[in-house]
Amino acid sequence: MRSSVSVILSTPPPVTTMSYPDYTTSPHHHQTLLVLVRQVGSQLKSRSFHKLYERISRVGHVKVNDSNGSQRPVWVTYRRDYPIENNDWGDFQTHRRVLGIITIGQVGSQSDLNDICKQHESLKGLNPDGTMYEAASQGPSRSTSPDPSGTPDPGGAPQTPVPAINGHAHVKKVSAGSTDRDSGVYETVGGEEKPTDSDSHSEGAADLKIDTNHVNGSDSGSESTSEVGCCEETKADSPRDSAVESMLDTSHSSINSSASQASKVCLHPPSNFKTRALFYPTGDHAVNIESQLQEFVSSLFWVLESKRLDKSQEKLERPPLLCAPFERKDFIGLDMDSRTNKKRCAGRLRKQLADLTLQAGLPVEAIVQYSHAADTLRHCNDWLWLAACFEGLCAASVVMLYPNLRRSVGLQRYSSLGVGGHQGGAGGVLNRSRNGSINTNSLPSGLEPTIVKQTSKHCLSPDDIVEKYREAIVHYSKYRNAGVVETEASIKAVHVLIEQRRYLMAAEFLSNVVFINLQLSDEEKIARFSALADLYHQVGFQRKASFFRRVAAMRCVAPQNQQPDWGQCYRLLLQTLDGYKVCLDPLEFRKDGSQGWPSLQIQILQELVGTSRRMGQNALCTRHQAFLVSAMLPHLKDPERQETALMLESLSARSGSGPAPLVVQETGIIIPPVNFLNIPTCRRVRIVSPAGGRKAEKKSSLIPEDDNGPFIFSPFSSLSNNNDRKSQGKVDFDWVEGDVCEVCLELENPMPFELKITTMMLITEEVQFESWTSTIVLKNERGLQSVTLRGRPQGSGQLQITGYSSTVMGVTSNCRFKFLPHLRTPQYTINVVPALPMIQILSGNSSTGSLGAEQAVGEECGSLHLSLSAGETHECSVVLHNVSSQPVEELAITLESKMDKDMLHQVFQYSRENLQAQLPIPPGGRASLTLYVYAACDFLAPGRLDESLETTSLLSGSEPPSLVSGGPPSLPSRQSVATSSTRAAPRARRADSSASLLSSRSGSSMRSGSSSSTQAATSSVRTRTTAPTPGCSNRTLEANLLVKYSGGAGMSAEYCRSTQVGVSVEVTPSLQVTRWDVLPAELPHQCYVVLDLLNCATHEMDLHYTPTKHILIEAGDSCRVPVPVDRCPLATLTEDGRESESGWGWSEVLGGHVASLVELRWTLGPNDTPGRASLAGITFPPSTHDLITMAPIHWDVQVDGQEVVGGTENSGVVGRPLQLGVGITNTSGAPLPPLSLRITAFQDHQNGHLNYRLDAKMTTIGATKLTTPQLKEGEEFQHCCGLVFFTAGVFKVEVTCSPAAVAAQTSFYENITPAHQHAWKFAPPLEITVTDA
Amino acid sequence: MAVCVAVIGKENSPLYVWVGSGREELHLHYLAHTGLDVIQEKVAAVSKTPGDTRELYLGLLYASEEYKVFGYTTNTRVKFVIITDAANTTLRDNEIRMMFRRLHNMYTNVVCNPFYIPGEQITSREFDRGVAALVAGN
Repeated sequence: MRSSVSVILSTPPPVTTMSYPDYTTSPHHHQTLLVLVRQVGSQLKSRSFHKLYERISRVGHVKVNDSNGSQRPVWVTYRRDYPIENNDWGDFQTHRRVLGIITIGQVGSQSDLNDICKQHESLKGLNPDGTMYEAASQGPSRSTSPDPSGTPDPGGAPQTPVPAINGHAHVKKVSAGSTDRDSGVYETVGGEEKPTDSDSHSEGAADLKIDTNHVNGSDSGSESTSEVGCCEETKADSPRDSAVESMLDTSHSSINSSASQASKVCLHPPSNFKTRALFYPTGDHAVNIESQLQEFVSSLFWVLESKRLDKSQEKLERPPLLCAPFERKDFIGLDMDSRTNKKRCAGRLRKQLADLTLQAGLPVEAIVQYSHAADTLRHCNDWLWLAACFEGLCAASVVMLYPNLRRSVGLQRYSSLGVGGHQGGAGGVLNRSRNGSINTNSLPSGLEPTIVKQTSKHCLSPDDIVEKYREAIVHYSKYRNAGVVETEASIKAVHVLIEQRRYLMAAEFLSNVVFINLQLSDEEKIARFSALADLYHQVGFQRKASFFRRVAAMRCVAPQNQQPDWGQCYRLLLQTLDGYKVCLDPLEFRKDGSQGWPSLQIQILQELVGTSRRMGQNALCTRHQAFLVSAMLPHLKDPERQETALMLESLSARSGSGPAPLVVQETGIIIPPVNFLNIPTCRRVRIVSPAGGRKAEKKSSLIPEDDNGPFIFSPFSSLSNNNDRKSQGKVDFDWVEGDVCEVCLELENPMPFELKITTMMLITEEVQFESWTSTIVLKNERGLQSVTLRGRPQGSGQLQITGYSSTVMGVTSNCRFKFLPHLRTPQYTINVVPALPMIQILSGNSSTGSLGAEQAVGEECGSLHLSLSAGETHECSVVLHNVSSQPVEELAITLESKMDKDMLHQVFQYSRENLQAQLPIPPGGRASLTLYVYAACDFLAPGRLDESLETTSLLSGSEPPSLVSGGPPSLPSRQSVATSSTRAAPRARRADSSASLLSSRSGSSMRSGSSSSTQAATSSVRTRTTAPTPGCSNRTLEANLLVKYSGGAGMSAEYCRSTQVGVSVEVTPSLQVTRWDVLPAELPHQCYVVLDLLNCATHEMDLHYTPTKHILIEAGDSCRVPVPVDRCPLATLTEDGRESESGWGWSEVLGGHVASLVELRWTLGPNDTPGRASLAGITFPPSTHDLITMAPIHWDVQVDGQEVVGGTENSGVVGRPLQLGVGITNTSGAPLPPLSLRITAFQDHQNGHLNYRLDAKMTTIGATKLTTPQLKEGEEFQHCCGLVFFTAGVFKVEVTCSPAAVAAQTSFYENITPAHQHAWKFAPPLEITVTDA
Repeated sequence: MAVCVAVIGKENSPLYVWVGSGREELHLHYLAHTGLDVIQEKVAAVSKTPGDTRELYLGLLYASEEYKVFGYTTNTRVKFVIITDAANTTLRDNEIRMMFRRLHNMYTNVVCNPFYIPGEQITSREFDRGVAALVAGN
């Protein structure tokens, strides 16, 4: 299409080319009459002008009945600005000629009016040719303008409304500048009558005055005659509210009411003013403006029609040569009479006639004319005019085929009125999407198919239209001066192609436009690019449109541009964003973030930033930069991130960016806020549960049971419940009003530098929440960094945390969780309970008296550490300090431990009542509680339980190791396995169990386990673990002091708090009973419990084992002490021992008996720390039972009638019999079965050997073995026998009572020792010293 | 031969852009970007007529004074754009077509990589080499 040859053909002066293309042009313009509407005078406000202009331009279509009576559509194009150069092309294409002028002005006085009239005239005169107006002035002037509404002729009648309100008036003049024909045509016409016909026409139609004069011009050859159809409407209207406006006004108003004679005189258009004037008081009063305009238009039509008829009828010998302005020079000197030239002239004339025909509303005829003209012109190689012919042909066809095209174009133009310039036009066009024109595609609505068929004979097919346009453009391109025409033709073609929905081809035409070389000013170039952008937009090529708009924007501020217009550049840039898929709302943008071209997006954003900065709009600039940083972050490399961030910081320092939307001035475009959702990136949000002591609990009684029905799992309830909870972000703990609450965010720093977040706080809803700001620095490293935000709820209810706000790089953003890409939960709901008191627990050491050195145990699970020697007692003062502003009204203390209850009570003791008496604790007040701690310990060496003392003889001197004759003596061996067969079974069992325990527990870790077993009175198998270092290991007793309390508002809402103090008591070993045994005491009701005591402590110990006796034990030393103990009465034994299944049940009872009687008190170390040890848990083997228990019999032994009490010396003489009386009394509560009583004498060699073979040394008189009868309660049995000694020496006599063989199986003993042979001895053995006479 | 090769994803965002050294990178980006308009239009025009397989090679999209822009689209709507110097008249349409074929093969290889997620930026040394060879004309 493009031919570069074209240009060289001519070098015309610039005047001959059109100044700039009309980018809003459309094929339908060929059909319209061009009317210029101008504002004259300075008094008219531009706003009212626009209003009037709008009303005027609405009269774009008038139907006129022609002389044949058929209706003709007449279309008008109103322009407010039209370059004179373009008018010169009126011969070439008649629709380019201004046919009428309407001027609108405001007048207050006659002089104003005169001025305006003068301006109107000068407007006409602006035409360099000026011919038409000259001609008009020559003609007889009759400028009558009677209003149909009754406004009198300014010439005669008074002007009523005008001065009535105010003196000054708007004057609107409509001047129908004629179809200013150029010279030659009418020179020869000379028909003076016909115009008068038209005159009469117009007069008949309205009061509109049309002066038509035909003067044979005598000026130049080219321009002599012109016909002027000059219509002028002058409108005087008074301003609305100018009562105090000016002197002039008041003077006028004074006259007005009575008679308007003066005003009439005032407002008289100059006599030589031949256009018609219309006067209206205000713009709003111009009710008849439309009808006036219609008349005006129809008069224009008649002028046109007459022209057309003239031309169609005339047959000329020498048709004048019509030329485009730049052509004139070319024809100088050419032979005008040549055959081709004649043809050329005729062809051109015909083409003009076709133009006129089209304008006059006869497209079908125009097509015929055009084709004739084209035929003619083609032969003469008149390419320019041929192209115009084709264009006209296309236009005529388009007019018929696509009447809708006019509408859309009209709409587009209409929308451009408001803002002015190309800007608004662009905005209007944007509204017209491609989809909107779908219906306008095929057959235009309202056009019957038959009509189309009829016309189709003549008019071009859609494809032909495009083809013809193409051809026309090719021809135009041969002429450099026809650039504007070529451009416009291309644009028209584009419009048609859009209508045909052939967008690719439209784009082709458009790209051709780019190549057309035009001499344009900068402003025009900008207009051209934005017009191209609009067209591309209509074609649907958004990217291309954006590209050109950006080019236009860059033009505005190009370095060579003298007056850079940053504002316009900015507005244009904003419009490009669409094509680059940039949406300034970050949320929207992120949704389709995968689209678009990042490098170009970054570019355009940077340009926006730069432009807005040059505009001085710092806020906008910051906003754009923030958007750039935030939205383009994934596409920025590290150095770029650093750079953009630095820039943002410097920008925001000038003008901080808040989270509010910004409005761009003038355009009203709203720039949404940029929230840095990704800087820093929040990966996780965790609502921090209050620390232990701060947690609010529902009072236990009020915890609602989840009623899930009888099913453990039901898909309906379980799943839905879970989902609900998750989706709502409900947190399953409570916050407390007035308490500091925390939310933990896990943030990631995407920037390659240390990120400083200055004001970071939570955004909450529903409940008033005092959010505390914090400043955070995120380190420059990948990975999550957790940050805690704090605040304090000010009320109770359901608190919703919806996001956080932060200020990063000077940009404040509100980040809602629902917008954060990495979070699923849109918000978190936390129940805030009413205020509760808060207790701090302080602990003091009251026993040491250092209450001043109270130390806070901490708000939460603090702990209290004590280190005590085993057996020590400690007083611990616990102070409850109410640190809140709420009183504590309820308080409950419990101890929790793994220890069993008994042990717990043994170790810890406190007074509940004392504490309750101190309630309520006022805010800031204190309550104290004394806790007694006893370092309970098992003092018995583990694993040594029933081993008797190894060498009793150490202590008891000449006593035999065991005094039990029938039972097994205490064994030297420590191996429990090696015990006698009678006891083998239970012992083996124990050994097994202890062994198994040993393997599972380490020795030092036994705490409550061992202690509990010592207390378990009923357990049959006692487990006693063995420590590796027996008795010398530390152990720790632990318990939690749980304080539940409530008060204030929270109490009424049934909430409470609990706090706990862990009390751990480290028990250092002090005293250990390593072994024990029982020895008979001197007194029959007593026995000795012999203990081997080991001082495990590191200090010397002063041990009081009886009230009167004490012993010092060095650290680490062991010591054996006998403790006299009252023997256990049988009654207790039978009572408690009933349930026991074996003899070991007895041993516990006996152990308990002994433990209750023996108390070891000690003082230890430099402080003389007191303590006591108990033998709790001690057990005794069955062999010792008889020693500990009170015998069921009471011995009454007499030697020679003298009663023998333990240890009394008896003496005898060799050969002389001694009378030995043994009396047995049943002291038990039950009848005694028969017993066998034995009296045995022996000699103790004091070396561990007892000699029972005394046959040669003594003899007895009477029975030494006998069976007693059954003894009832309290019954006594007496037996006497005699002893005769043959040699002197020390003899001993053992008196033993054992159940008779017969009675061994009877029930009495069965209970007690079924597996063991009982024997009661008279102890100590009777000792008789025999002397020789 | 070519001055710019671009692989453009389904959503019209670039997956890979190679620009010859010494060229105005941004300008070529703009060219490739605006070429998408034409591709879209051409594809839309073809896809309206249902039925047989369409030609993947879209031909010359448009020409500016300095460059010619050619387009190609796969069946998965991944677009290839090759920009050549307008002055380069030795380049025939068939050669351009062959270049696109090769590019398509290379792209297929990239997609075959199990570690490549379709729609991501292409960072493949193999692809780089392939493109370098392609534009060098051997």
